[in-house]
Amino acid sequence: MTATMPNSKPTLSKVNAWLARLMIAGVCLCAVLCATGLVLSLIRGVPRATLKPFKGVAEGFTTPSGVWASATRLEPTGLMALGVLVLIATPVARVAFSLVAFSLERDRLYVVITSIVLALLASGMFFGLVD
Amino acid sequence: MTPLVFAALVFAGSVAAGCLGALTGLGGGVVVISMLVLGFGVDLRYAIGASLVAVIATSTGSAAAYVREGYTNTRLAMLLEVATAAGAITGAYVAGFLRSDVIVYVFAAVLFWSAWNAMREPVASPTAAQDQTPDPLATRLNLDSSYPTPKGLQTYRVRNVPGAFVVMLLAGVLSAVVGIGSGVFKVLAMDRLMHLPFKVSTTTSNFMIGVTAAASAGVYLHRGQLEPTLCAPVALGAMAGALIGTKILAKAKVPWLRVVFAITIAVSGVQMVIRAFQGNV
Repeated sequence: MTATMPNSKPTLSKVNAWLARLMIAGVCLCAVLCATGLVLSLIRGVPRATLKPFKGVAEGFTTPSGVWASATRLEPTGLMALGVLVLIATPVARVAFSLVAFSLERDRLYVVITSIVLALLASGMFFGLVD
Repeated sequence: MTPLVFAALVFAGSVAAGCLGALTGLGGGVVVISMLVLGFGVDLRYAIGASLVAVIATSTGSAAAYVREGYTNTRLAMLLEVATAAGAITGAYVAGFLRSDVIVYVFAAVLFWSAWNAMREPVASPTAAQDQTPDPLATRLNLDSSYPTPKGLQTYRVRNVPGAFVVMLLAGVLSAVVGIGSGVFKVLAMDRLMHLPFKVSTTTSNFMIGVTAAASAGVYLHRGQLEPTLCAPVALGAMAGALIGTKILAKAKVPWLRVVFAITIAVSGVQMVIRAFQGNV
């Protein structure tokens, strides 16, 4: 953006248009993965998970690496879980993108504010995995 | 119930949740928890995980439209996200030490208090920015903005930033304990404390709740509360519903939106209390 327009800052509406595109991309990817996984599981007749009492998800689905491993084997549950992870990652990606946008606007105050949000999100993810 | 029927019903219910969530700024987590616990007998911990997914799906699905159309105040959202994200991480830990029935009572109390609040008329209806003196802190933070109305762009001023910040911190804690984005608190803080136009409050809340929910999602993933076979139809339904909701919001009248907001949370509160009294939580 700045390479072609060296003297003009990206306007808020332009930044917002990119934010919107990013969110649409996240939603679409999630929808494709979830729908594919769901349809495959129905075709293959995977039995319904017992949802009471609480036992926790099947082994391997509590970490991103486990989900990825299952999804790359094209297991229906793995594809659905990956779709859910993509969905969770989208708001985080949106905050990261905002950080870039505010830096391009040279809005120092909001670069700081956005960095704090990103750091909090990262620590939430991190502590979630070592909890 | 066959897996196909189950997935179809959960999907349909989530469409309604996503649509209501996008309209009210609540994210629809309330509806998803009620539907799964009361309608399908799902354990509350799985339901909370699924509602977290529904909230992110509704937030992301509707935010794309709201940001593009200019309803969302993205600066204000980022500022308040500092408070909600910090609160959410704290709350995710507190929730692990609480009993399900305690969570349900906290949940219901919040819903009733909020419904009562939403039905009251705003103390001071938002007026055009020219009629108000600028708030020094809001000016420093570059928060004043405008939003689309049938009569064209309407400017508005932001005030009482510190008060809203504190409420957002509590909102973050509660959202993680209860498993909803706690859009309830976000909408009320912006509507009641900051006197923002209702559609700005709900759409900015919608934008924020995805981030708040994502902040505690790591903890829920690790605890095994995100059951993929349940979360997938919920996510698909909520995203579809959110898209429908964004189409309705642009045309909707504000008093009608307030009533929908209040009814949604009050009905959910009643259902939760009934369930808690039966001891089936």
